[in-house]
Amino acid sequence: MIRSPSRALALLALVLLAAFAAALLIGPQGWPSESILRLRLSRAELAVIVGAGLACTGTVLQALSGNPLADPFVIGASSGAAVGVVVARWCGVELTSRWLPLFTVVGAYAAIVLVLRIARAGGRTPVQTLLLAGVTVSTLGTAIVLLYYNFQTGTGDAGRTMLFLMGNLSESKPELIGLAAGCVALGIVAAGLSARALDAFASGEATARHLGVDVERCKLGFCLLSAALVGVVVAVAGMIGFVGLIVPHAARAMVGHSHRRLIAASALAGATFLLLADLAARTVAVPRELSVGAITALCGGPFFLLLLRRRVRERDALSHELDPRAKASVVPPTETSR
Amino acid sequence: MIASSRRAWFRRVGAAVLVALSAIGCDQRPERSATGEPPHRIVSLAPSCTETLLALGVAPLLVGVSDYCPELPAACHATRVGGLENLNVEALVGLAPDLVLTVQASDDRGLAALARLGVTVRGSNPQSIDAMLAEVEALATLVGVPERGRELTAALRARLRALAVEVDARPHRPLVYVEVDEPGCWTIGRGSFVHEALLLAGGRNVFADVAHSYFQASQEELIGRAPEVIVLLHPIVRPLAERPEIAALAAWRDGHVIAELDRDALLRSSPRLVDGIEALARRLAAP
Repeated sequence: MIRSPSRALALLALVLLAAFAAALLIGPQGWPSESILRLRLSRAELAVIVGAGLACTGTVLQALSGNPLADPFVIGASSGAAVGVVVARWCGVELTSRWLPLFTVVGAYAAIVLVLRIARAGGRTPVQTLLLAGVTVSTLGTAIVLLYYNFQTGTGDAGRTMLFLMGNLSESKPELIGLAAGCVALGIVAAGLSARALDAFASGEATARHLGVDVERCKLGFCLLSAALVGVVVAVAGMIGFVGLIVPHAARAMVGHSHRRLIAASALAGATFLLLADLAARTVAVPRELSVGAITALCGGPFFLLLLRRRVRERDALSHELDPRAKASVVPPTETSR
Repeated sequence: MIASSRRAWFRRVGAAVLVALSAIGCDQRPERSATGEPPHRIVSLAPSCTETLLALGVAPLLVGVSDYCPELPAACHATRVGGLENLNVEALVGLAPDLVLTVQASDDRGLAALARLGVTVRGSNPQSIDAMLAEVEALATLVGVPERGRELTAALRARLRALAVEVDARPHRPLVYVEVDEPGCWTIGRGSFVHEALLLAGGRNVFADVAHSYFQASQEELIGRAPEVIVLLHPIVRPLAERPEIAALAAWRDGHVIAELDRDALLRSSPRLVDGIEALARRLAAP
């Protein structure tokens, strides 16, 4: 951890600038001509918007559930948004339509509310139930997407929708990018303004209530905020996983647990991470292009497993301390026989 | 005890593997039925196979086709049995076919299940024009019209020869980018029959150095390689002007975009491919 959080934030901002410059200057074609520069610029813009949005959502969801493994992908929000895409296609809305975000936001909101409601127990969301509920809702969403794929045979449309959902940063419609940029910026500002409530939530719902936070209203607000961010991101870039998981942890390590700084740091680091992931996707296999979602998942998957293992070990240690049988075994036999 | 249960486990797994292997081996049986009669209840699971039977004039032999197959003449009463990924095996078996045609590899799981049920499966996926013509003749022989098959392929070869003469006389062979799907620049490498079709039509594939059939090309590479003509083999959903990698191409600015071709003809390895090649050749002559 860097001593001064504000210095860490400045450093993150500098790194983001450097990554943005790298994304513009590095590529299969080397030094960019004007048209190449335009191409790289549109992808870099989208990477910044999507990366910042996903990381910010991850931070909010982790605070809301009091659970460090929450991420839009893991808890099924992205999957819910994907169902939104499929429903939109089914209603005849094009993948490039400005109405698509409406469907994805509703889908993401339904998934988030469903998962949090299933998983919540005693004001907190235990790791196991959150993951189980997330997996269940994700699977449900995947099933609906697959059913759409099955029923859309022979039109070629299903394949295009699947390609879209796989995650890509090739969207270049200015009005959609502008819409996404506006939503993500508003979302980050809103999350930053409610940093105190997030701080309170991060130490448990009961604590938040004691601290005078209007818990129910905040929950509704944070769910809506997360859904809006995830929905807009999926509508412009498909499903890109694990950005919202890794980045908040890295940010926490740099600026600490205060959400005012954490939100800003997550947004900066998320944008940087996705810029670099897209740079890799564009350059490592030329003349092919790799799926950026695969790169983020390759980085995020092992990280997720590591966190999960640490979390389970902590829990085991805790339960060992609290388990009366475990306690009995350490008590000297003479005392128990009395 | 643990050792013996482990041994039993290995034995069980071994037996399962043997059963699976024998099931895969089943579809190696001869395609002609035991009586030596040509098949007369055929199910086609691939559009290209259906196209070939249509071209051979034996479409009435079809009792089932996939959801992706073209419309059949009114006289045919073929049932739709799903696609390669969502095959309705029961509906297919219920049609009591004596031959199932497909483009899948013969050890595909779904097909192995069919083979276990005693259905004869013929899987072939010709990825070159010669292989396609050979497949047409083989199918014609199989369904009992070998003469028709030879006539058809002779006519197709003659058309291709005539086209080759015409194309060879052209002063310039344009560099072509063929897009088969989007989002992302999904295109063809030299492993695809579409690549060969493009060569025969008088073009050069801008991604000829990639060995695979289909892949997602780098947007920057596409711009750097500067194709002279863009051929789109998918419906245009995203306006080309909004795609920076396309808008940056001189081919797009000069209007050298070919988007109205019969996609099915060019993307199916069947006799209609020659129609597709001729149409593409005409368009490449005057882009």
